[in-house]
Amino acid sequence: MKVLATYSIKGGVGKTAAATNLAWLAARDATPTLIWDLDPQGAATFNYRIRPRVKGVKSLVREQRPLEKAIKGTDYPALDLLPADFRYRNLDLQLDQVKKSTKRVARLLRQLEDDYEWVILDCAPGISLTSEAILAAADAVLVPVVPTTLSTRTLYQLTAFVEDEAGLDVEILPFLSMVDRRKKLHRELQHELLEGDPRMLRTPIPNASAVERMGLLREPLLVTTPRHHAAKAYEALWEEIRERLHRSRR
Amino acid sequence: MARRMPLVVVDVGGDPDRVTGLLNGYDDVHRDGPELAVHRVLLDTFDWRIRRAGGALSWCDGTLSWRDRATGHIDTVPQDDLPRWPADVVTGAVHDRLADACEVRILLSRVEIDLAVRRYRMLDDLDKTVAWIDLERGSVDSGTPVAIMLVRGVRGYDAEHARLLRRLAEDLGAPTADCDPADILYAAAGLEPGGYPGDHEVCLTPTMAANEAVARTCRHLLQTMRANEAGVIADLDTEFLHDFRVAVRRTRSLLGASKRVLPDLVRDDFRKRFKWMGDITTPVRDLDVFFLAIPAYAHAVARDDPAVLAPLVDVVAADQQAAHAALSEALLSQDYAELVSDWSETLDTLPTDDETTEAEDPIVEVARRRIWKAYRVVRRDGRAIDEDSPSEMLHRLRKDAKVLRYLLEAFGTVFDTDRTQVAVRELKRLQENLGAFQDAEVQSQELREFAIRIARRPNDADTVMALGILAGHIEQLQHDARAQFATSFARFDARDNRALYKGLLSPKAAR
Ligand SMILES: Nc1ncnc2c1ncn2[C@@H]1O[C@H](COP(=O)(O)OP(=O)(O)OP(=O)(O)O)[C@@H](O)[C@H]1O
Ligand SMILES: [Mg+2]
Repeated sequence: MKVLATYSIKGGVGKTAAATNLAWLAARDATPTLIWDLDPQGAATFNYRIRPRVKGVKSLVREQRPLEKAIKGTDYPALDLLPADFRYRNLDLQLDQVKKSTKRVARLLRQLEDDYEWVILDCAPGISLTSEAILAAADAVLVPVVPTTLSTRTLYQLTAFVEDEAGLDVEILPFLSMVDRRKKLHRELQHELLEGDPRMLRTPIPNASAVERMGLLREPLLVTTPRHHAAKAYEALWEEIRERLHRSRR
Repeated sequence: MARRMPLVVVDVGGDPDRVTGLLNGYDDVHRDGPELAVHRVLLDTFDWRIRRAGGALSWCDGTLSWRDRATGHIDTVPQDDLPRWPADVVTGAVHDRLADACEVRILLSRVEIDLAVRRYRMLDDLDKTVAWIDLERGSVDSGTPVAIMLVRGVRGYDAEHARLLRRLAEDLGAPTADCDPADILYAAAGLEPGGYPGDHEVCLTPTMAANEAVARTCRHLLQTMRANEAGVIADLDTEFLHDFRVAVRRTRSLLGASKRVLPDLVRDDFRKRFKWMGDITTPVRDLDVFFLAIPAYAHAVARDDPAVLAPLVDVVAADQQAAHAALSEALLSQDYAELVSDWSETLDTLPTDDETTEAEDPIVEVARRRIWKAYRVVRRDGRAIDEDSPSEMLHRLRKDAKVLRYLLEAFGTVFDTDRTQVAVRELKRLQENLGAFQDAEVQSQELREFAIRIARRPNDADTVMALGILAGHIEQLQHDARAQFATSFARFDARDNRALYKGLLSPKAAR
């Protein structure tokens, strides 16, 4: 089982859009995949038309109820989803009450070890006990980076938080998100970011209204418009992620 | 894997149009995509091994599925073409189940059907799919229409699935009982899975006239022969001939034991003709046995490179083909056709003459005497064997044991099923030892001939060397079996087993 988390300190950068499409791609060839929506806002859950409600969040966290009970099948054969719940807002509080709280998500995921080959965790933005626990559970973090003059700094902050503060040994895989080729600044920064950080994945996700419309259609872009250049970009990004993970495993 | 969706299979063969009408009328049920044409094949061995292992194997457009009939659990594997052997399927759950169930038997396509599949989905208030419905329609070769509805749930939406089933049951006015899709297809094709003629027991009662009991048993054996003929001629797998031969051998045993039950003239005639049948099948069977042993041999002598035995495989295969051609010719001959019809007629008319003094005796009496006699022959011939006895004596004992075994199996149950089973079990041990000895001897001889032929051809030294090692290996097997004989016969001839036969059969006990 490989666990990926989409994460950023900043909000609204394309984490959920990536999680939604990459999970679908992971499951495309019948590979059992789970997307766990850990953001109380439940955008990924919404994208898959599932009701953002989980029975007994507290007992799940305390391992009194198996995680499996809360899982829902999506409309796609190999892809399941663990829905968000508004009460995840209190997840920090609940984690605070259990022992070794930062290892709790990893520990919960062990229940599903034999059931899935890929698990994709979609996080709320920001730094919290919950995000720390999520990052501790992941083999790699996918970090959307929107080209701005601050992006290098933001990425630096994230690395510092993950590696130094939390002391986690997790692979950080940043990728360019919402890139607008019409903006001179984007073009320049894209180049700079790709050159400046060897961890950066090569495929940028373009800024496209088709991605935005996903929130309306509530289906992965790859289902509604598989030939769209943004859909193709997610496809290429997924290949790159797999390759990178494969390489770092060796 | 824990990912299991609830699936209920409903036979709607009666009125599929009504079902489409119903589904069209449901607000929350929608057609999904165009109608698809699929080709589905149900596979099993000739003797229904998959069925008997609790499975149902089906192939549909590039996917092979094994359904566990008890739990409904389905394992699938991509499979481009119809598989013939477990080895044609890539390693995994389906392959392993197949290998365990089929062993050396070939997979036959038992039912083929073209189906038109209409898919529907049921949506909830968020337009999320909460159940799938597949309606499959087609007709089997005989023209019988088939309609199957598969109602599949989605994980985490069990309540919706149950509600849909309740609604369907109500509107259809019939319970939506879960069926095995394979059962529906078999029933439509008029097939009775699991029904192999070699299996079900012949129904005998203790007081039945001996000649009638023999005739019933022989008719059943003749049926088995006929059922396997086509498979033997087509050389599908080794077991058709195996079962055919067993039936012939059993018929001969019965003929041998039917003195005073059937006229000598009749017995002698058919014994001769069935011996011909036995003889003509022997070379093929011996080569089949050799062939089946090759993987084990390759492992024993050429662990690193089984390819060194390839020339041997070629020679065996060539001989097998030649012997098989001769056998097929015999099975297609006038002589064989006449044997079948004459024998069948004899069994129906049951001739008698002055000598058939036991023909009307109750089978229980006659069988007891015959089995007792067969037992004493085994005991006598076995006791006569010591360390220096020639192998012919072991072969003869092996034949004696076969006669005893078959008489026990055919008639022992008429008087004591439990004790008969114990007797058979013990006898089997002895037979296995004798069989191992005989097989090794036959194969030693065959191997010598093969080796001479292979050595005459330009070959690499490795193969000739491997054959030398193999000869030594087989010799060792034979030696081991021979060394084991004293112990295995002593066990057969032990006090308990003797008492068992006495209690079961001795003329005294009969009274
Ligand atoms: N490549 C893109 N092109 C255009 N719009 C995008 C793109 N990716 C995401 N968006 C839009 O931007 C908004 C934020 O995206 P998204 O929800 O994926 O980001 P997020 O990082 O998960 O946000 P949050 O931090 O709130 O969870 C959404 O309205 C989404 O439709
Ligand atoms: Mg989000």
